[in-house]
Amino acid sequence: MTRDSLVRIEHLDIDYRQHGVWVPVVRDVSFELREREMVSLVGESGCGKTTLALSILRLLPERESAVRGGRILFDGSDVLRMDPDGLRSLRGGRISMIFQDPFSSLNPVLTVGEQVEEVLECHEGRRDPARVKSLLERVVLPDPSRIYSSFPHQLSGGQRQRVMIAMAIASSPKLLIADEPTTALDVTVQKEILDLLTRLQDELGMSVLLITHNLGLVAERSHRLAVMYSGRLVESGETAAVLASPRHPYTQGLIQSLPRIRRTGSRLPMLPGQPPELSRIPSGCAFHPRCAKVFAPCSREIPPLKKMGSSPDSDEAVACHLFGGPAS
Amino acid sequence: MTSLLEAEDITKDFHIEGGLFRRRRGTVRALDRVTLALNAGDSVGLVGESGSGKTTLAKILTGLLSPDGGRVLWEGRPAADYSRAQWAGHVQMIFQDPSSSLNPKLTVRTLLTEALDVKHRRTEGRGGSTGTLRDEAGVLLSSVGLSPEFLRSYPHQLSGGQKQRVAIARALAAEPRVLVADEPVSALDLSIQAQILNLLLDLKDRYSLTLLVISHDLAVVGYLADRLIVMKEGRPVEEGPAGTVLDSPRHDYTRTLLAAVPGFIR
Ligand SMILES: Nc1ncnc2c1ncn2[C@@H]1O[C@H](COP(=O)(O)OP(=O)(O)OP(=O)(O)O)[C@@H](O)[C@H]1O
Ligand SMILES: Nc1ncnc2c1ncn2[C@@H]1O[C@H](COP(=O)(O)OP(=O)(O)OP(=O)(O)O)[C@@H](O)[C@H]1O
Ligand SMILES: [Mg+2]
Ligand SMILES: [Mg+2]
Repeated sequence: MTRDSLVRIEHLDIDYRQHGVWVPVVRDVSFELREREMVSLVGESGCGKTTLALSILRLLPERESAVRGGRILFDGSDVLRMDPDGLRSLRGGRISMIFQDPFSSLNPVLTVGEQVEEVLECHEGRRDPARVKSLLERVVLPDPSRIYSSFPHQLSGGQRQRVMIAMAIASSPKLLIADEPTTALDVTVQKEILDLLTRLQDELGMSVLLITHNLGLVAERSHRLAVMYSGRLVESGETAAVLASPRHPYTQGLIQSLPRIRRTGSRLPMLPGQPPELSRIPSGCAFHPRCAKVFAPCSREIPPLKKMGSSPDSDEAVACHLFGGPAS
Repeated sequence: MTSLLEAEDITKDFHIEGGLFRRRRGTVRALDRVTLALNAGDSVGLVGESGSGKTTLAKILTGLLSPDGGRVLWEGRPAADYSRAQWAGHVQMIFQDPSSSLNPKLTVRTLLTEALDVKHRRTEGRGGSTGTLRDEAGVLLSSVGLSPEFLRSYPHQLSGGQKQRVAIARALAAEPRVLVADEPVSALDLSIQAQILNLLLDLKDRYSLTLLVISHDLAVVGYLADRLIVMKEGRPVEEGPAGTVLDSPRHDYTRTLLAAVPGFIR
């Protein structure tokens, strides 16, 4: 099935200033999110997932970050060149984000009800407590009337996360960016939330960019999977295909380190080494010092993201010298 | 034998107020007569629905909340017999929400050296030298997979998972006897989860660190815990050796949790 593209990111480069020095955080990332599609973004802590997500909303910290190159198109318009009015409509409803850190994105002095109502009012022009309560019910919160009159600090971690989700879907966005939205929720609630998002994709024609390290969650719902390492996209493709036969040695390591439920008595397998510091990214493929399959070209050349698979419209791509084929 | 840390018959109520005169809108019984005993070297997993009272129990054990009923004991003596500094050496907590537990105005170095200094005062009667503290802070950071470069960073300059690991390092800096870890790895990707879980197991083996691990992830508790407690609506509904609970769960909630785990992880 081919769908129209909703977000298209082209060769994006982003730097942060750390201790007075500019360091690369996102490099040459190209990426597409189509209508009604759910794409998952995974990768080690610090590889740039949140940074990439924030850039779509132009929410990067102003003086500490710089977009060095590339384009971000949302529904055909260039986000990086958008005027304040355009940005306001983007942030005020067309794109919603569930932030990784629910505490710092909720207002501590307003009750949950007041906050969700505010979002609804912006969107629909009227206050409607009944709709707020039904939204709270939709995100599987028990006892919605109590939650409605609670302040954020009076909620448990999982309750707060669901309030964030309710706020994000209140404006019926075209794009929902969900940054680790269910880390505080158990599998049963996670499933219900993902069911809800899947339904909303159809009802509203919504697309979802899901940032998560939870491969179980990814496996069941998302259409495509993108893997980042040290600021670059290293593999992407249909979710089931990537999980079943990961090509990049990094993706393989990521899948192997999944803790299983039964304890084996031994230590968990780990990827050896650490992800590189931003100020000291290795030459060539940034993963090469940790890679078991390293060979001559790895430390010299940055492997481009190459299309894999036989069919021309295959989505699979990998950036690794082990794989030949034409650059995509 | 007296246990290291005990919670005896703990009850905790929260009141929700609202409206003009802050009338009481309702009361939540977060914990309902919970009893729990931890022996040295134990590692206990606490699972349960969101809102079942796990974090509340953790905060009571750490001394951050006081119970409305029941008491907390250390080696058989009530918590009130100990000073704050003594308690900090007994129990440390890794919070579910790392950014709210890290002072945004302090660098990672200060966050860690403060905790290390408290430990030196407690164990040696005086603070550590600047050089010692710096070296120890670097070692701690690398044990959670962060390079010493992050010592100069402020919390807002860190990614979600990096913050979480600084919070873990800070809790470990105090060298507590009991570590209460509230969703310690849920914000971390798998390879770093593995590193942290292995680190906690090492500390348990080497220093017989006592662990209370809260997680909604059965893989995580199954990996760390010898004993499991399942909570629902403020009370424990199932308890037993981890293997038994995971292999033949008796309570519905435990069964649902297990059944919902995606097949390829089991
Ligand atoms: N304001 C900032 N100033 C300087 N460096 C920053 C800033 N914010 C983030 N960084 C650095 O940029 C890198 C990417 O951060 P980002 O938050 O995008 O990571 P992430 O992939 O979302 O990680 P996680 O899974 O841990 O949340 C990290 O190494 C982080 O330390
Ligand atoms: N300060 C507070 N004021 C009012 N109610 C509170 C307060 N703290 C917690 N609660 C309520 O007490 C109950 C237990 O909360 P707690 O944070 O202990 O749950 P939890 O088991 O840790 O859940 P989660 O898995 O979602 O983190 C919840 O219903 C919560 O809304
Ligand atoms: Mg992040
Ligand atoms: Mg909690």
